[in-house]
Amino acid sequence: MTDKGNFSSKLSRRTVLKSAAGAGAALATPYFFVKAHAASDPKVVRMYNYDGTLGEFYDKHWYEPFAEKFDVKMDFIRLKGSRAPLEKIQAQIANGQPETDVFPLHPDQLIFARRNKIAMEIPRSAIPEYENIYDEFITEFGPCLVLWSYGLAYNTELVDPAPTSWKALWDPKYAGKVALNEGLKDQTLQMVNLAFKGSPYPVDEETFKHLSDIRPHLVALWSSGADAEQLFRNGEIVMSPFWNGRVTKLKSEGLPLAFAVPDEGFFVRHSVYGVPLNAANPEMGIEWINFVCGEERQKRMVEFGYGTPNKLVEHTPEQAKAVIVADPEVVKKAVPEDFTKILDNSAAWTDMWNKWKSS
Amino acid sequence: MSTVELRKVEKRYGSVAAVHSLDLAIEPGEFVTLLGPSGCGKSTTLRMVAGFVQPNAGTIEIGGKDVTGIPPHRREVGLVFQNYALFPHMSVYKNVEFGLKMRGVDPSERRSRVEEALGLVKLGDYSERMPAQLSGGQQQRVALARALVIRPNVLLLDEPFGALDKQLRDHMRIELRDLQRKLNISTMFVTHDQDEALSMSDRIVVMSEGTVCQVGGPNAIYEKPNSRFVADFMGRSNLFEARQVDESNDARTLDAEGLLLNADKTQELNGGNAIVMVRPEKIELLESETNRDGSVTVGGKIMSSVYLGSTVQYEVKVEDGPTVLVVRQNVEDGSISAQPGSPVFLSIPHNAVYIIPQ
Amino acid sequence: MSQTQGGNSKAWWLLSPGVGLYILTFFIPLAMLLVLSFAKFENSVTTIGFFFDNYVKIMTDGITLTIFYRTVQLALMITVSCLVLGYPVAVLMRRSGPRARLWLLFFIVSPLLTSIIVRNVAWVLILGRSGIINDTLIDWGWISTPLPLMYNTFGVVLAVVHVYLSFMVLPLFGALIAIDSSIEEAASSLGASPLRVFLTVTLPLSLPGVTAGCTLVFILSMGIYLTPVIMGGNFVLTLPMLITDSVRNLYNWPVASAMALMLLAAIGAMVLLSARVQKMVGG
Repeated sequence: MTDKGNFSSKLSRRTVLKSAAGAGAALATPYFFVKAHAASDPKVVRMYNYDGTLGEFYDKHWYEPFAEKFDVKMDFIRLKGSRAPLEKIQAQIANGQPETDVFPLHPDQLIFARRNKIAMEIPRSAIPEYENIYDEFITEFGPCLVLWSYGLAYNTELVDPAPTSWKALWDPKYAGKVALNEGLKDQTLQMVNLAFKGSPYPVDEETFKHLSDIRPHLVALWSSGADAEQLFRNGEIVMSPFWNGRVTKLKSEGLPLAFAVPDEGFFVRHSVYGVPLNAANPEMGIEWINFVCGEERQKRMVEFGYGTPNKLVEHTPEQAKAVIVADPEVVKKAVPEDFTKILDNSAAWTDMWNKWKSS
Repeated sequence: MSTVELRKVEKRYGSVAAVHSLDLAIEPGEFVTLLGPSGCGKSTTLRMVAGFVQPNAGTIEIGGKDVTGIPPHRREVGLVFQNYALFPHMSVYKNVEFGLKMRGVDPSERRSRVEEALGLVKLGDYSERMPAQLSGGQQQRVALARALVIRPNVLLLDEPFGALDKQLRDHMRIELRDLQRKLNISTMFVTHDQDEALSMSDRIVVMSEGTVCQVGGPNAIYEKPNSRFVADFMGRSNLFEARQVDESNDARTLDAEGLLLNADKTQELNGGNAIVMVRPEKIELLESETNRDGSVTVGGKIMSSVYLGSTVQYEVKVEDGPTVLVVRQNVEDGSISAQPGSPVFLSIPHNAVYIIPQ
Repeated sequence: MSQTQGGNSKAWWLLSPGVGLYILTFFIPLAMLLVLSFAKFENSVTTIGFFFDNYVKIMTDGITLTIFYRTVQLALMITVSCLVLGYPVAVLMRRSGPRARLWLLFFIVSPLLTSIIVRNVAWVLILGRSGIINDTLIDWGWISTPLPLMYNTFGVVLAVVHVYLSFMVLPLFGALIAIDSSIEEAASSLGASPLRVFLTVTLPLSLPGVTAGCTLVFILSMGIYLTPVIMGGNFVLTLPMLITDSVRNLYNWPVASAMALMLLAAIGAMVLLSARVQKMVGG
């Protein structure tokens, strides 16, 4: 207490930061107040869940069996889109308690979480099931699960021959019948580079020149999987970059759709399941992560159409085809992505992207 | 040639006839009042002349031209509403100028005519004011100037004084009537106020339930109503069921609900029964029994008296007869010690007894 | 007299919950927004301080200002469209009987009762490549390839107008119904044709409603975010979309705060302008 001025300025700075971030989050979501300050109850585990069939899958195969086995209640918050709202979670952590006990992190979000220290480090010993998980799928915050592939979805009746290159999107034959992904614009930019430069980086003027070439062909830029599904269903588009799970789902509905892995390469991503800092019930959160890493839960995920890092899970030929990443020959085509670069450049790329859209 | 002529004009709303087979003519320079209770069809008639309401049958002529089916803006009528209906976003000058502008009158003539019209209603100094800055009477004068400036064939006035207080209303009556005479403009005036009708009109058209009850000068309408309705509507009156009980050379003696009255024999009596009217201001109130020529005198008792300032109104119960309404001028304070309960005598002149034709 | 004053001072206390709510939900967050807008966001980490980086970025990045202007443009287009489409509806409502008026009101307000998702599906059915309009026009042989009716500015304006029309029609109707119809009749009897009655009397007297409706729709339109995403196929960019993107995908609260304040300032300017116009046309 020798330097009183310094102390008080430190205090006020912290207070301002905390409350400012909190107020921002409060503006965005009124229910935050209720959720964030709910009393912690060891019998309740709070989770995010998705819309649509993936959400149903989680309910049925990842949440209900766990609730039954451990006699706990699972509480859900629906996600809008596929990403956990880190901007909100960060503000909640700064102000007290995050709204869930487990959160999925996309690879770039993992780096953001690391830098902002908003996820709990989980020692390997805390998750016995790690024994059967491939090493490269284990991070200090949790396991990489739900392996999904990002390739080219196309209408098998209207696109002929079947596309083998991302360049098929630029084919004038399909002008006015294709769309690109706005939601994951980093992937779109890397895709353009793959198609014309052979490697995903750098994102530069040339990348956008190719985007400008395709611009007149585009029906829309979609921002969520549901939007893209809608475009395919309505016949608005015949081809778009997409992920395998949604294609499997649309196929099962009878749509003539197929998923192509282009020769230039494709993308494989995953979600790291971690426990946010200050979570109300971290013990049960870790328990759940361990539970879903197990063979039984991972088998279900493969049946659903997404890949697994669990060594014990075996694939039927059909499952292997659907999850894409079960075939070592195909996996070779997966393009290594630099997520630090993606995170650090996202602002600059967004500006370039918006300029391109507005030009 | 009449300025306005309505022939067999009919207006129905659904199955209800608002105006039923109406014939009416307004002569050049004539001031005609449509008088009646609300819902009698007087306003509908005026609105048909103005062109806002289309008749279901019949024809309307203005200035000798058939205007049935012609929209309002092509009928040369000047219209004044009860609520003035001035354009609130325009100055007094602009309000009055409006009709001339619509007619494409050139600006210099417009100016002189607007000034003339504002002079007529004594508002020459107010031309730059906005309507909201004027009193009700001033606003109504602007409305009048605005209607007159276009030199319409006919001036239509729809209860124009309804929103003014009594004193102003009396004043405006005189002013309007003077102006109308001066300009010699045919006028159709709609009101439910019989005082207004009586004081201003050349002719009054009394209407009820979509039909004309009586047409005539103010005097005829007041003194000689042709129906019980008109008698009742045109001010206070004593109406009695009566039958003839005796007859002399020049008079009939009538038993009016127990009150014996003499009436001039010039009045026809169809059958034995009639309704007779005695205006309450024509009955004299006496302290003692005094017989006068040409009058009957009966005794009674004052039931109530109402002090109305310039007049006092009494209810007098006639012995073995009806209750009679009497109105006396308040000429001297306490001329009659007319406390309720005090005995009085009524003197009713023969010529005050009017037999309503059946 | 003193009693009246006593009553008034007591009545002021009744305002305190409302004022408190405003302080809590508006002024405090606004102050925080101001603080955050001067913070720095670097390497994914936010530092509170007094930096002008965010404002400099907005002014110099060559895109935020462009999008801001486009947002204003879009809001103006929506406002004018609402006015042009809404005025006849308001006139019709005024002339209708109470029953018909209620039905019209229901039709105008009904888009507010449906979710944006449902409305979007409906628009695809109508405006899409194989929607009702394109199919019909192709069937009739008027066009050979489908018209681009959505996933562009047209689609966004149409979808937003559909919802915000009620915010234009209601103030317009309020202004129109307040006009004494005898004023229009007076004009008519003075020789004005129906068109001239409208231009010289009805329209000028409804200007307060026009101002109110335009202000309301403009302010609402400055905040559109979801409709351009869905109906514009993401090609139509607005400032609110940029703000959302900055927060949700870039986690950059500071720059988003600066942009939000810019939007707020624009809306504030519009409100002031509207108040002045209102004073002019009203008095």
